[in-house]
Amino acid sequence: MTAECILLLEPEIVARQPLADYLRDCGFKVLEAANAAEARALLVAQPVAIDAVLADVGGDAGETFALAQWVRRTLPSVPVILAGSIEKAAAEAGDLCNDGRALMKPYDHQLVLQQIKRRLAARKT
Amino acid sequence: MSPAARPHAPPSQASILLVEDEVVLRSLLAETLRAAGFTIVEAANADEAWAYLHAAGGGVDLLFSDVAMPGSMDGIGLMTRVRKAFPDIKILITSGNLGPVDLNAFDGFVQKPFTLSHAANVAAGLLGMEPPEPE
Repeated sequence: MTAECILLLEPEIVARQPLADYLRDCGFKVLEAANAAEARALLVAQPVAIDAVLADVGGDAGETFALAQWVRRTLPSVPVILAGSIEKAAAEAGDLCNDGRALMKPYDHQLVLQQIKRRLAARKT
Repeated sequence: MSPAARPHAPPSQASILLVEDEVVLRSLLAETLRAAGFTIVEAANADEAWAYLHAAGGGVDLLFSDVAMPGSMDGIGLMTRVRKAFPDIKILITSGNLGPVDLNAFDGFVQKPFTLSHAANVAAGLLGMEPPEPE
């Protein structure tokens, strides 16, 4: 069975790297992006087929929201999970997802994993 | 003993900080190196790489960096800082157009464009390991 691939958009390397490694240890392929432009480039090139996007809204929230809307429009089968460290941004992200609250930072890795599994499972039903 | 102090760590334990601003190339190269057994930390530019090294106190065996990158410093600036602050970290740089540089400032060079297997083999060689893939 091919590992499912998560695109992780997180501008802070000290947050991105341990979460990416954790998700790899859990059996996922992980593509890492440091900003929305990198994430979009990976979504267009798809060096590996991307199954879900996990994106932080803390760097440039406008860019991340625009990316999330672009993914929903052009790749509707790819769920987008948003995360934020500011209550208001997280709430806005949750509204955009139409799927409850966004993840809060700092990341609880197990919670992130649960959310990814839940969204991927929902995609298959 | 810190990871940077291990002279011949096996591939499963050797770590590489990969610094490349072209994200698709970085992803492909990172995946190739992971498949060869290395632990990879990806950085999008020299500033991000330096932030990681600063936070981790070094913590990698090899810096594999592009030269021309956006940000407050390029790959040359990064490797100069790394050589001074973390002399145990080996340095491999890559460029398509490398100008005059101090040859003592790095340990290896990969000319762009390169094949992924060639880059992985050069990295392995610098870490004293068998080449992971035929070129």
